[in-house]
Order: sequence, then structure tokens, then C-alpha cells
Amino acid sequence: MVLSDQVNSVYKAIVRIEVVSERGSNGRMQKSGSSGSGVIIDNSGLVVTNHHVAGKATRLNCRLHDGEEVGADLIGADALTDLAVLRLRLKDRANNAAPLKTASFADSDLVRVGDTCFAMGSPAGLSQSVTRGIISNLALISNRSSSFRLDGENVGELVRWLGHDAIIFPGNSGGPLVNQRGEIIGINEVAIASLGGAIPSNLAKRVALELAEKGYIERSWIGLECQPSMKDSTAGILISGIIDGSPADSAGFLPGDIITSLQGQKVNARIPEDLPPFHQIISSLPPGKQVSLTGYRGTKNMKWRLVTEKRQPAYQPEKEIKQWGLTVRDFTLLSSLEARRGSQKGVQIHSVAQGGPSFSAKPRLIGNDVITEINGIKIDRTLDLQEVTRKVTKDQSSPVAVLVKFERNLATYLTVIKIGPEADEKRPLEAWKPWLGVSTQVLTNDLAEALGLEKSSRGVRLSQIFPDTPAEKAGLLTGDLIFRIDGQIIQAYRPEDVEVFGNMIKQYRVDSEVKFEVWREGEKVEIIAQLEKRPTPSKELPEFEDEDLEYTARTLSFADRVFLRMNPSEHGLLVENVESAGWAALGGLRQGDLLLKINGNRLSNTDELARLMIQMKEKKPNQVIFFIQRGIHTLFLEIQPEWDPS
Amino acid sequence: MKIFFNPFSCFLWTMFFCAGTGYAGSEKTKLLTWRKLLEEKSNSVTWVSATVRIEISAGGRSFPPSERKLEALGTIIGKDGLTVLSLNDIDPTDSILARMRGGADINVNYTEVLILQPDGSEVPADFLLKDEDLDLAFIRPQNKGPKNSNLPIFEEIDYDPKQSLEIQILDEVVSLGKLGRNLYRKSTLQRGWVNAVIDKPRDYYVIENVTPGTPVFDQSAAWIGITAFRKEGGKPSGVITVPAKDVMEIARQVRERLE
Repeated sequence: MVLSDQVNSVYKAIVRIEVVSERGSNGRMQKSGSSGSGVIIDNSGLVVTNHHVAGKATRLNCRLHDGEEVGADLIGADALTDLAVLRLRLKDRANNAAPLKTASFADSDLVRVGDTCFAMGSPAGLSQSVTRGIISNLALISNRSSSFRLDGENVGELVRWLGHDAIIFPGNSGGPLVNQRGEIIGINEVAIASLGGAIPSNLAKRVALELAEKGYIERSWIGLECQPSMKDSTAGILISGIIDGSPADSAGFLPGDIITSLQGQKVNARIPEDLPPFHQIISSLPPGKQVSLTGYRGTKNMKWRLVTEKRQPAYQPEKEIKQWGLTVRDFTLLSSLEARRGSQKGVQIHSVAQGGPSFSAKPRLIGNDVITEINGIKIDRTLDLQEVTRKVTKDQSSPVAVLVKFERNLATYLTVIKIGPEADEKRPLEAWKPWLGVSTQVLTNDLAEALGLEKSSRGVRLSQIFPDTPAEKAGLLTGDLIFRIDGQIIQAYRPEDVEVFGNMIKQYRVDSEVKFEVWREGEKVEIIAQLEKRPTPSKELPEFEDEDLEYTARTLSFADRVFLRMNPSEHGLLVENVESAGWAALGGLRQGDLLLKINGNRLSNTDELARLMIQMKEKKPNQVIFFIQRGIHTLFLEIQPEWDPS
Repeated sequence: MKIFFNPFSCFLWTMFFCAGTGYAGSEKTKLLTWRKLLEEKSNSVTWVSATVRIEISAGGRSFPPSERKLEALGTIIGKDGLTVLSLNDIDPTDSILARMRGGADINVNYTEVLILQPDGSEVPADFLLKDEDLDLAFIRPQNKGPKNSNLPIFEEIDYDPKQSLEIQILDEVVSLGKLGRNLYRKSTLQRGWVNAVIDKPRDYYVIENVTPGTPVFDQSAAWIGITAFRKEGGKPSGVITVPAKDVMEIARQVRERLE
């Protein structure tokens, strides 16, 4: 089958979205990289995708159908429908860039079961893909056990997906479901068993345009929790719960009430699929509107009147407060009710960094604690916490103790937390040890016999002599057999005796002269070696932690040079640590890489690296080019950081 | 009533009585010596708390850093508060490596080291030097800045560099210790027996019923050494006591390299 021109044109409107997003965990905002799909819906570069693809993005990069890469900005995201809208940075495109290909929405109410559909997207690292299927269901919902939540919102509350059997893969999320006329009938979001589920285009279009206009979706809320009516009861919508202090609470609703009409319009829910339309009617009402509902309480006819309120999100996004080792959230009405608090004032702990200031306090803070006061100053919102922290830690070079009042369940506690600059991290020195500069293998009984020696011989065979070491200076050679050190037999004859020789050497002072009884080419010789101090261990070598690009590099150790077969004139720094999902990691840098050059500048010590990075920080380039060696290969890496504006 | 005097039975009773009192006397002397040791030197064994930030890289990937708080027993061996511990107790490197297949590069950074005082106060300290071969770690109170302007007086254990101890198998010894927080950190004495004296490739004692990081004393309350782990392939494979002279030799190195 050949794709029609119309379908083919939508194919060119697909974008692959590379996302760097941040989530709070372990007291910090942790970055992660992922990818998903989207579709361009107008010439201004508006792209529709899923919230779970791009809703928490801190950086977005879109790859168009022809391979062109364009940065994008998140305009808005809606957790309740799992939709997000981005805008391509068109001004960054070349003047002669090709015009954007766009796709338009169809009326999803006209879609019928059995219609042919095409699922488009950029799954699993592919640039663009299309799969074909038919519409299988017009009101696909997730059952309770498989419902999923985004930012605390039940994603299936408002949406009945278009079910289809066009195959979708991880990475297809956010891509369009298209009809034979090349129009968007849905935005792919979920896979339930072997069926794909797409958000119907009418809902997607409405949400996308409102997000593009306002950056958020305004909805109403009345505080009713509903379920389908019981099998033997009157038709209508069964009220299972009422949220305290909500409009429904004020209107006198009780669990067990049945609603049969809303604003004169009949409502009914026999099965779970009937509930999303009811929720959509309520959420689409303007906040502050007076609403009338009718129904039953037992056999009694009921009439309720209430005024809708603006719906607040289930949770506020978490924020990192670095000086405290915390991620925190402000309360919304729902999250304060979930926490069983009468007030939205206070800052709720989302996560705590183990070993951080808040973790080290006695008593320590834990998740869900609520900070209400610091040094007697009321803390109502995260902004208050940030402001007090800024004032307390300003110009301080060491942590400052603050008195914190917090709530845990029904109790109020006081604790002292030392906030401010992070404590210095230290590592101990290693005790000096003598060394000879050799690798050895145990002279096993079998080996001794095979070499023509007494089977009961004990000792070691030198398997490697390191250059410029006491062993080399003394004239020891690879293949030499050593039986005694200063007359003492080396009690090594089993593989597990591998440490015996090294331990005997370690008994000596670092500058000792040691006599070895050596068997070389069938003759016994005595060799005297002057032991030396072991080369500086790698953990005591100078290192540089780059907090902007998020990696650590250090000077090469003796062992590194031996392992990498580098001669003393060759330069480089060893990448010791790459922070997970940091900028360097996202650019492809790995622990163990040999860092040779940055932006063409050769690196031979950590001071040079530190100076170079200070210059970079001032210039804030969009990308930094690392030239590295990995194994026997060399390669260039593009690191694209978001520089700290300060 | 007639009393018969039997010279032979009198001799036996005398011998028994003398032997009995003689035995009881040496046991009593030993107990008194050890109880005096406990009374005078209990605070030379201290709890130490270390907060560590662990960075693990394996197969070219670095994992998000994690933080841990560790507590270990240590022995104060200098008036300046120099304290020796079993490295294994405050360095999780080997235990992490043991759980990882294919090896890993592990960096353990110490963000806070505290010597826990008997009155509940804490003295900030620095982890200065470690000897992986002997499983020893050396920490010392920070002596700069306002935090430690009023350092407490540390009670170190006595060491005579001229002492020459002859430790033999089955000698009865005692180790000074401290219980954990749940038992109010009370001081303890534990009796132990020398199971083995190792002299090659270096001197160690194998003594049963002793706790790593704590000091061991002979019957005259002379300090024999510090208990530590013997490791094989990075895993603790036994408990040994490192002779006091070896511990003090590394302690000299600590001062030499840092002052």
C-alpha cells in the first residue's frame, strides 16, 4: 500500500523530541534524558505532545523529518489530559530553512470503529515511523488497577481514548493518530495490552489551543467523587464521596446521593466509561458559575445549588532547596486535604538528601513533614523558605544553625538544622607503603614441576616489571623466580597465597634495602633492591570537579599510565566521575574516558582545566567540545549545558 | 566430743586451702586490675560517627551519589584526641564492591566525622589517614576555627614504647568497649583468649571475643593492640589484633605527614 499524499504530508510534520527533564528525588532535582514524539500544528512552530514526554522539561530539542534540529520552549502542560505544547525556536533556524510541514486536527466525533488509522511518531530512536491499523474502540479507558497518575492527577478522569491496533512502541507517545485524509484524529498516549490509546483530537485541540494561549488550563471543580450507579439502583451518577470544604460540601451532598441532571441536562453513568463525559462537563464550566443539580437521596427527590470554584492542581511541582538538602512543595487545596491539614500554609517536604543538613538534624526531617517556622518567622510558602534561607546564609562561609518548627502528623516539633554552604568533603591519606614495582604469580607445585624445579618449591614468578621502579633499577626481569626475601622463604604455593609476597614487602620501611634469592635461567642469583615509597594513590591526586558540566577529572596516576600504555610525554586527564543525567553524561561522557582536549585546548593538569572552565563560565557557549579517548578510539563529544546565570 | 588430730589430713587441708586462696588471690587481683582499667580508661574508647557521600562508577556510568551515616567504635591513642578505628567500620568501599559484579570505581568522601563524647556532645574531627592492609583508620579532632575552641580533655590509653609483651596462646586478655546507643553507650569489659600468635608475614594476634576498633589488654592491663578485620579479596575473613607498636608507628606517620 502506498501512503496517500495527505497522509504522507503529516508524516513530515512529526518531530522527534529529545527531552531533559528534572524530578525531585533524594533531596535534589535529578536530571534525566528521554525522547518522545510530537506533531507540528501550525506555522508558528506549535508542537503538540504528551505531558509525560515534555511536561517537566528543562531543555527540549526537536528533530524535524529532514534531520534538522531545532530547540523548543515548553509553553504549557496539562497533567489531567496528559498534553503539552511546545514552540519551536524558529528564529534560530537558518534563513534558507525549508518551510515547516504542519498537520491539522479532524473532528474526532466523526471517527467510527473500523476506520483505518495511522500511528505516527519517532519510537525507539527512529527518526520517523508510521504503522497502520483500525479504530477498535471509541471510549477506551484504563481500569482502576492500571490507571496512572501524573503530578498526582488521575489521567483517565477526563479522557476516553480512541483505541486502535496500529502498533505503537515506547517513544511513540505524543505522536499523532491520523485518518486516511491525513488529519489528526488523536494524540497517542497509552498502550493497554496490545491496543494503543489516543487522546481524541477534539479534546487535544481544545487543550492545545488553550495552553498555547494561556500556558495553563482553567477548569472548574465542585469537589464530588463519583462512580457508576449500582446495578439495582436508579439511573444516574452515584456520589461516593464529598471533599471537605468544597462547593459540593457546602451544597449538602452526602455519599449515596444520585445525580440525574446537571443544568437541566440528563446525566447517567452505568459503566466507568460513562464518567469522563460528566467530569468534562463540570470541568468545562467557568469558575464562579452557579450550577443546579437534581437527583435522589433514597426515595426523596433532591435539588442542589452550588457555585463552581477554580480547580487547583493536585500537587504543586517540587523545588530544590540546596542549602537544606531538600526538595519541597507548596500545598494545594487537594494536597492539604490529603495531608489532613486544615490549612494550606507551610512547606511540605517532598524528599530529603541522605546525609544532607536536614537529614543530619536531630530530629531529622522526613518526607511529608511540614515546615511552619524558621527562627520564629512564619513559613507559608516555598518563597518564604527561600527568602529566609537567602538572608540567613548571605555572606556565610560555613553552615548556620536555624531553629525549625515543623509538623509531623498531629504533633509539632522543633529541630536545629545547619544550613548554608555544603560541608567540605574530605578523603583520608593512605599510609605510606614500600613497593618494588612488580606483578607476580604464585609458583604453584604444578608450575614448579613444569619448570624443572622441586615440586615443593615455594615462591613467586615475576609476571611484569613496571618501568622506572625499584625492581627495574635492581635488574629484576620478567620471568625471574623469587624464593626468598632476606633469607625468609616466600610461603606461596597455592593461588590463594597471591598476597604473601606483597605482604612481606609491606613489612619493610619504605627505604629498606632488600635481598632477593632469584632463580634465573637455571641459576641462582642474589639481587639487592632498594625499596621506595609506593606512587601516590589515585585518590590523593589533584582533581577538578566541574559543577557546571557535572563531571570530575583528575591527574593520571602511575597505574593509569601503565594501564593506558602512555609514555610520560603524553597528556590527558582521567574522567573519574560523571554525574548521572548531568550535562556531561547527557553529552555522552563516561567515567574512565581520557580527556585530551576541550574546545581544542590540550589538557595536562587539573589547574589548566580549572582555568579553562572559568573562561567557559564567563563566555557561556551553547556547546563545549570534548576530545576524548575511550579504549583505543578517540571521539568528539558535544556537551550542551544550561549555564548557571549567576 | 573427741577431736582426732591426723597430721596427714591436716597437710592435705592446708595444701587445698593454700592452693584455693592462691588461685582466688590471682583471679581477684586480675579482676581488680581490669576493673581499675575500666574505671580509669573507659572513656578512651569512644563512638565515632561518619557521614559519607558515595560516588560509584561502573562500566563507564556514574550512579547518582548516595549518602550514609556510619557509627563505629574507636580508641583514643593521643592527648590530642587522635583516635584509631577499624577502617572496615567507616569505609563502605569493600562492602559495596563485594555486592557489585564486574568491579566498580568507588569514591567515599567524608562530609562529617564526629567523636561522640560521653556527655552526648560531639567533637568535629577529620579522617586523616587509613591503612587498608592493616584495616586501620585514624581520625583527630579539628583544632582550627571556632567550632573546637573548647576541646575536651581526651583520655588516651597508656602506651609504653619500651614495653615488651610476651603474648602466648591461651593467655586470658580483656578488651575495653562501649555498648550501642540502645544500651546507653555503657562501657564494657569483655574477656577473651589468645587463639593464635602470627609472626609471618607480620605480627598479629588472633583473639576471640573482641570487637573491631577496641583495645585489648593483658592481665597487667598493658595495652596489647587494636582489634581490626583481616580481609581477603576485600571481604572481612577474620578478626585480628594489630600490635600496639605497629599502631603507634602509623600514628607517628599521621603526625609526621600532617604537621
